[in-house]
Amino acid sequence: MAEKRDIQQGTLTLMILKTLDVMGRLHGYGIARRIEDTSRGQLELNYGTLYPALLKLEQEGFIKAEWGMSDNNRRARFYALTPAGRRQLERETREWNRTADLMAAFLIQRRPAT
Amino acid sequence: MSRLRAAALRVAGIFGGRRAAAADADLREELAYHLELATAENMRNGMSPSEARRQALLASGGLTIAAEAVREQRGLPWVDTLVGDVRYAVRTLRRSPTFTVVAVLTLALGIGANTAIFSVVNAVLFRPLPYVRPDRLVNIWETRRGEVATRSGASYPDLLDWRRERSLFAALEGYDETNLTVSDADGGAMVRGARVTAGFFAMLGVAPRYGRSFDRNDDVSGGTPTVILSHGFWTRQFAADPAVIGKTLRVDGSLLEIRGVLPPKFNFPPAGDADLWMPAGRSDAVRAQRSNRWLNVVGRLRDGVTVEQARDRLNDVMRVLASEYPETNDGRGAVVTPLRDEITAGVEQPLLVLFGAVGIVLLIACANVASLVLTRSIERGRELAIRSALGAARARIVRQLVTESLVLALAGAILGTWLAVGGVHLLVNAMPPGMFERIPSLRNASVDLTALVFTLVVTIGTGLVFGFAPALLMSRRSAAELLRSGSRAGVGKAQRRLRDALVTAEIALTLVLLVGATLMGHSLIALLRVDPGFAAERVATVRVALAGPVYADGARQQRFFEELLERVRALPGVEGSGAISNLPLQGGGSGAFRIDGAPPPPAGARPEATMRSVAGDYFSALRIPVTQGRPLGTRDDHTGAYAVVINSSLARRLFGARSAVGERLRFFERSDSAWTIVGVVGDVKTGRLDQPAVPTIYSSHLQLPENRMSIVARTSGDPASLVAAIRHEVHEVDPSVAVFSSGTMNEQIARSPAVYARRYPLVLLGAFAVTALLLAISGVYGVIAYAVTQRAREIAIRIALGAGARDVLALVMAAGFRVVGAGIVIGTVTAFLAARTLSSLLYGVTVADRTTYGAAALLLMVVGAIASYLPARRAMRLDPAIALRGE
Repeated sequence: MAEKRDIQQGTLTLMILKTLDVMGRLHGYGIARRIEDTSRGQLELNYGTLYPALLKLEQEGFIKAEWGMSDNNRRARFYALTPAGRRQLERETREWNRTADLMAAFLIQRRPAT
Repeated sequence: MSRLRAAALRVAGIFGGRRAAAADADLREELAYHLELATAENMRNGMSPSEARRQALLASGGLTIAAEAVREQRGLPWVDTLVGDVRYAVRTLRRSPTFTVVAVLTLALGIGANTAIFSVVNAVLFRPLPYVRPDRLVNIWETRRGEVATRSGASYPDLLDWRRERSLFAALEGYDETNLTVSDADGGAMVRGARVTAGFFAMLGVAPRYGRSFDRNDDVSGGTPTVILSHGFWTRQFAADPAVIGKTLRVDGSLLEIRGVLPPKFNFPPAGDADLWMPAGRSDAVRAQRSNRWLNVVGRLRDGVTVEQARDRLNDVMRVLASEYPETNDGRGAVVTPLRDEITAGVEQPLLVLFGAVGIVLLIACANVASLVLTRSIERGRELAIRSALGAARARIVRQLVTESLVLALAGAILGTWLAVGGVHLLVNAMPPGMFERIPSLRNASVDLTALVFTLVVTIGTGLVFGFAPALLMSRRSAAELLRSGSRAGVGKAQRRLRDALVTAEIALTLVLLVGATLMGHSLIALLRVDPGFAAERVATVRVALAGPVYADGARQQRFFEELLERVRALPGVEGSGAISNLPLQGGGSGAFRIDGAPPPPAGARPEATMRSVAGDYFSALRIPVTQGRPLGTRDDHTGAYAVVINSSLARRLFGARSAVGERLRFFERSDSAWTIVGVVGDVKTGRLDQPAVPTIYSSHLQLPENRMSIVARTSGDPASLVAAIRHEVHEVDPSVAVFSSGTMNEQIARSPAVYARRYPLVLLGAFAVTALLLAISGVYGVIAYAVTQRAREIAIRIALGAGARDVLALVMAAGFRVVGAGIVIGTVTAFLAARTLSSLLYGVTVADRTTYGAAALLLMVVGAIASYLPARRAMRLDPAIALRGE
């Protein structure tokens, strides 16, 4: 298995947005689990990375947070995507794809035959 | 958009408070729940509860760290640290109150005093004049050729001839200042005014704010009955009502139409604080007279023309005129000076002296601040070492030190700015009124921002450098080194020397100020002791101006003053009374004369004397001695022969030891009649108090009527109440007559230029000297007190070994005397050099006056002794057991 990677905050926020888009309302633990699962265990999120990122997204207005009841009847804080967040997700996805295509074009080059 | 929102929320997050606490609690709950779920997951995967929890905690990366990270995202972390540092700094400063108070006060004083003085000096000397291209404006005077001191105004025909020099001047205009009576239903009031030629304002580049300026149509004989108001007059008299244009104002009896109102910041100092401006119309006769030099000329030089070129060319013109009109213009020349010089002349000197003095105070304040802060930072060296040993990052320590210095600096800056504003206010209000007349721009003096910033930077910069650098150096040393008790002496040696040097410098500078203030004080006292030639005690003076068509006739004027004097004579307590056209020490009013029978002197070398008209018993009222013949009296009226009285220095000059009585004089202005000298009186200083008396010729107002005279009356009682009584009598005789410039004779002397030019700077210099002294005392005290604490162990050992109280005292005070003595020596030399700048202001005392230097040195030695004694006493009381028992 590849090494557990450290993660940049920029990509983390994209992951969080996508996760919430796919899964709907989630609390912090749920988001962390989903991301770890999706990355097939290659990513490990500590709280000091996840929660500031969640707060930032909240400050920017892309997600909103509410206190609600969890499955086991405990008070938990749930995060959900806002319309602005959905738009931001689409924007960032486009950007990411474009960058990936561009890099692919470069990386596919071969050395000229001698 | 989103970033802005985030930023705004973060800024709001700084002011957390209760919301922050609630958010913290929420976060803790959220993180705890996350941990619970992770622990549950681990248990489902087969771990034991404790292992599950441990693994979950490890994976979390630490709850505290997470909470901290979120908190940082919430607010702006650097602001939080700053707030924390500031709070800590304030606490630390509170713990050493003497230091804080003294440091803040010193900073404030340095900043406040300097900014205030500089702002005032700036308003006078450096601020540009409120005209278009003021550097091109010049004053032009006529003189007796070669004798610049004899300068006078120009005559109207001469002005017209000068105007022909179109290549030199873009414009040439003239002004004539005067006092006017403005009357309304309530009576008359005196107002200062100026008559100007039509293009005057256009030349200055000033246009009225409301209404119109003068133009060619106003340049007629007699002038047009119009007036332009100053902004101040318009605000005071018409409540700033713009509808005043076209209304009329009664000035000197005639109705004038208000043509315009000048802009607020406009002033023209050579014309005094003129409130009313009128066209310079004079009769056709006067406009044709080449000998009537009533116009003060101001011109605008064309680009490229220098003052010297203008002067040379005008002198050529004057030579031509002298040959064409020998009777009037023989031997006349011209002098051209920049307008700015005219405005600042005479005031420059005292102000620059003040400027220097305040600079010295600034230096002393800086030295004090430096010395205070230096000591403190040495003392804190140990504290810093301990903190560093406990793990504080050096950057953090440095940051806190800087914050502390900045908090101190801020406090000092705020207080200093407040002092500066108040100081400017105080300085302007304390100025003698005469100074405003000469320099109206003083009214606009306000705190100069450049000066404020400059002084802030200098004083605060000093504080920072001296507080910061040693601490920085100190924090480099290892903690162990610093904690060793004996090493304190080593660390402080360089700083101690520096501190001593600073205090020595303070003492030297204080000595300079003390010497300066004392010399000025001597001058003022000597000046006030000068015999003005008359007795000024218990004399009231009231100046009366007769104006308007009613008083156009000389006989009417004479009747008025005779009636007034009769009434004044009858007032209770009056021992003697009279009147004179111009009071002593006021200057002005001269005429040319020659001795009847002797060959007429050449037109260029006619002797001149100050001319005065007197009424009543003027000479006896002022106790002016009559040395030959008799004073003027009621018999010298239109029926008697023309009579004059001259002063003794003129009598000596003209007739030597011979009696002057019976000799006759002829006046150039009235060459048809000969005047007989009937008496000789003692010299009276008609001009400045610090200059010798000039030749004076007195005539009776019954033969040469005056429309303006100053009533003088000696009383056995209080002169101030007599002033009020005289004013009342004037009102009784004619309510429409204006009374002005009244006061006791002593007040008049105090207001005269020779006196106020010295008194004002003296008061300030004295204040500076006192401030400097206080600062120096605290400096010396600080140095010695510190030395005592440093050498506490040494002193304790000496006491334990049997040293008596006297020995300890001597030891400590010797250190003080070394510092003070060095300061006195350096200071004396510096003071001697600096005092040269004062030399023109000194009167009756030389720059090298031994008593002054001796007294100042003695004062400083006494001060130094006291300041050393107090800590010395503490040293004597040291209990060796306590002092030696470690730290």
